[in-house]
Amino acid sequence: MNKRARAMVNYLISIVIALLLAFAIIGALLLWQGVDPVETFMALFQGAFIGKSNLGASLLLATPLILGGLGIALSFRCGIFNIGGEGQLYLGAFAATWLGVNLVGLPFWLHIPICFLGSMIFGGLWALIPGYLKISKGYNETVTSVLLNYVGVYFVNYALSSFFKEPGALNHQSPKIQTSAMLSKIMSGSELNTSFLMALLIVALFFLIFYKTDVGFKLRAVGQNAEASRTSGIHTRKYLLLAIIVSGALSGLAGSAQVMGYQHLMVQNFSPNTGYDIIAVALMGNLHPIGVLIAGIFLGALRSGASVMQIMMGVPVTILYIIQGVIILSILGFSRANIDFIGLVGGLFRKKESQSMAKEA
Amino acid sequence: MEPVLRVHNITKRFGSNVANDHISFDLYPGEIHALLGENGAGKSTLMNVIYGVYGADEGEIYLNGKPVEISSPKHAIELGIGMVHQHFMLIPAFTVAENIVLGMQKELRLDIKDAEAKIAAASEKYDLRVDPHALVSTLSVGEQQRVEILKVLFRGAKILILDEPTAVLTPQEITELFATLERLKKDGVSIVFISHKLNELMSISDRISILRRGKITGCIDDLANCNPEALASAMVGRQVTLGVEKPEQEAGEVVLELDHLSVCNEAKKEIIKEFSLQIRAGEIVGLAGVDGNGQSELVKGITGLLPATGGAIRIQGVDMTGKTPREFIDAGVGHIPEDRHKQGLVLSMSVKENLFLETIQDRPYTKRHLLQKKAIQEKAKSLQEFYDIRAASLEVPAGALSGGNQQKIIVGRILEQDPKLLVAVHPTRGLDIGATEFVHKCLLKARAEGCAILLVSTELDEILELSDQIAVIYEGECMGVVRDRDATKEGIGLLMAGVKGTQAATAS
Repeated sequence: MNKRARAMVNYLISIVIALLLAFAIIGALLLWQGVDPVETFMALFQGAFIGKSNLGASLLLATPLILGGLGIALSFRCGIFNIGGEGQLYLGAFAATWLGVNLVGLPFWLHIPICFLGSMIFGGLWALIPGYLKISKGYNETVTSVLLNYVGVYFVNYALSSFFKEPGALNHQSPKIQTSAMLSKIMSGSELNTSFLMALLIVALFFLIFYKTDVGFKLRAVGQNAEASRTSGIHTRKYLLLAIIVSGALSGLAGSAQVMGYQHLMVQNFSPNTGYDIIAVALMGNLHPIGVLIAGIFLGALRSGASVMQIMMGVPVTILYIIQGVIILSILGFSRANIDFIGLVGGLFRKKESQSMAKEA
Repeated sequence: MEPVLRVHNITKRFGSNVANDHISFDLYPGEIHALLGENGAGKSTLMNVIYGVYGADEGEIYLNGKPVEISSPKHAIELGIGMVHQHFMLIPAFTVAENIVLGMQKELRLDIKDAEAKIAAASEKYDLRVDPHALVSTLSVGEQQRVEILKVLFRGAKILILDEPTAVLTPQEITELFATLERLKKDGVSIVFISHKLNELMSISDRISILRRGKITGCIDDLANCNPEALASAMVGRQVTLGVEKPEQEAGEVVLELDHLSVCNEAKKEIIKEFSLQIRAGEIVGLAGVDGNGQSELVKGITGLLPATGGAIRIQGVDMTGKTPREFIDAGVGHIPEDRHKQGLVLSMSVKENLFLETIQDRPYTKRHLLQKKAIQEKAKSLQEFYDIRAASLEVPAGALSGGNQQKIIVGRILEQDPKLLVAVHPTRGLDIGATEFVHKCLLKARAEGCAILLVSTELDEILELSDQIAVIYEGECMGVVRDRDATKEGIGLLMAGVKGTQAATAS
């Protein structure tokens, strides 16, 4: 087996162990609370995958996680710790909603791309602030991007309670977007819409660009060693800025996909913590596009399953955050430790063989 | 006399690779026993076994005649074995005293005054002059090494392992280090000295053991009747002639012209002051100077990595002042950087990818932004063969290769671009004989093909051997340019120390 395949298998084994560990901990908690864990997990699974509406809900919830997770993966790969997904997502959604409400009379094939583009530009520009400050002034982007989250989220909440408030509405919410900016549904009996297909397309594109083009090559080189890249004539700053703008743009898309896909208007705190959950998705996915896709669907399914579980078993939804936390910690732990499971298992077999041979002798 | 340390039949395997193959080695009190071998011969593995980093698969270690099982570096230190690594393990933001007591502390409260007094006393005793209050970041490389040695002695080491201790030192610092080692020897400290520099080993060692491909191939007691060529041959396993053959050659037209060039470093401090120099096609100009006199900044100025703040750089007559590193590369400037890990390679990327850091966007490797797998693979394969890059496969990360093979990746990919001007900075630093020989041959081949070469090195021998002309840099200024045949070591040395005048260089 070659080294890469071996590393891959080891990584998969570590994820399985992490999952088992997480469910074991939750199982123990449930037992302590007097709830049957097996039944609860069955309900969770059923709520996640069984039936069109449940499966659709899982994929629907996965869509923003995949889009934003890709952006975070890109920026982390390039050595930029963009934690500002929340603010970028809110501003992106705000831009898309505003364009969706105020542009009247456009055909859908023009209106939808304009809204998406608007959300990408707002998200990208919001990410450019910490990016520019890091690259030109050396400010720590983790701090600046987190602080900008508050500015972004509160600005949007303010807008929704003042100049962008639906007149006469009781809640702080925006007007409804035009029908021409709404995405079509792709599965009957669920809210699943074309934004999920767009997410799949972007995963494929990301993979292609990152691993099969010279731009991706340079992005990877800059992320691993910026100084060597600069010495080799790569415009390091250009690629770093590109990475952070694209990262913000994808977070913006994660916001607009929710509004244009099924919410159709913006309410205050319309997508709480998604900007942080996408970091979890990126890390669980090992910063790889395919990994992000799987991790996004997994977390989406966990969410949708958890609400069914709550209804059927009376177990609060919040336990999924414990599951999420344990999984991320164990995956990070395992990938740091770099355990060679194949070697370990192989070693056990060899030992047994030699022992039995010794006995026979 | 009984050896303080005896290693018997040590074998250490990594997978199918035998790094140490039944090695036996002993060390007597007050002895400097050198371990000579090429990179990858197993020197570091052996020392790591002795220092408790790795457990041996077979064999025994005896300390003062008693068998010991060394389980960890901490245990090794308790047993009186200390190691000074090639890359120093010091915290720059801490003072000397803080670095030395770090990790020794048993109680919660740190009495730094008391520690400083003790360290000052130890520094006096061993004659290792360092100021315990000084911040490590303010110390020179030589001083940092003294701190490392003092740290080890302070912890009660009786056996000192030095891994390539002279690799980062200037000639003066090497002399000082050797004086220190002689004194320690008189105090009864036993020293294992790892190196591949022959002349140095012959002057400091009592005995030399030679390691090749994981085996001890010889132990030389009688250093008086031994010559460097014999040692080199024993180490490489074939006949070696030291020194290179440099044919006479007429230099062509001017390729690089520095006209009163001034360069500031990253902190905006002017380091290079009105530096003027010309390099012609087919000519090697050696830049001699004590490390840290502006070599890095000059090189960065010539390659566009730092902007010129005054004067001009012309390459083949074209003014390049203010251009980007990319434009310098496109103008035909090849750069073998001084730090291959930081500047030369992306260690986590594959050998193959590292061969294309400059050229990936060019045809035929990329067409319409799509990487052309086949063209890349073929080119990489031919580069690997031509430059003899030894790697398990082209897909392994560059970081997994030995220093010599890493350098071959850089040299190969730079020369492949047919540079008009080659800036080679410490191109053989830390390399073994075989790799050094190879790099020198590559430089001379480029010279024969009409490349103008700036060779920056702190090793005067290397400069004298290869250069047609020698320029000397001191505090960012050009002290003078001397023709190779007029140069003497003493004269260059004077210029390196800042004594002006060409008479100095040519005076015998």
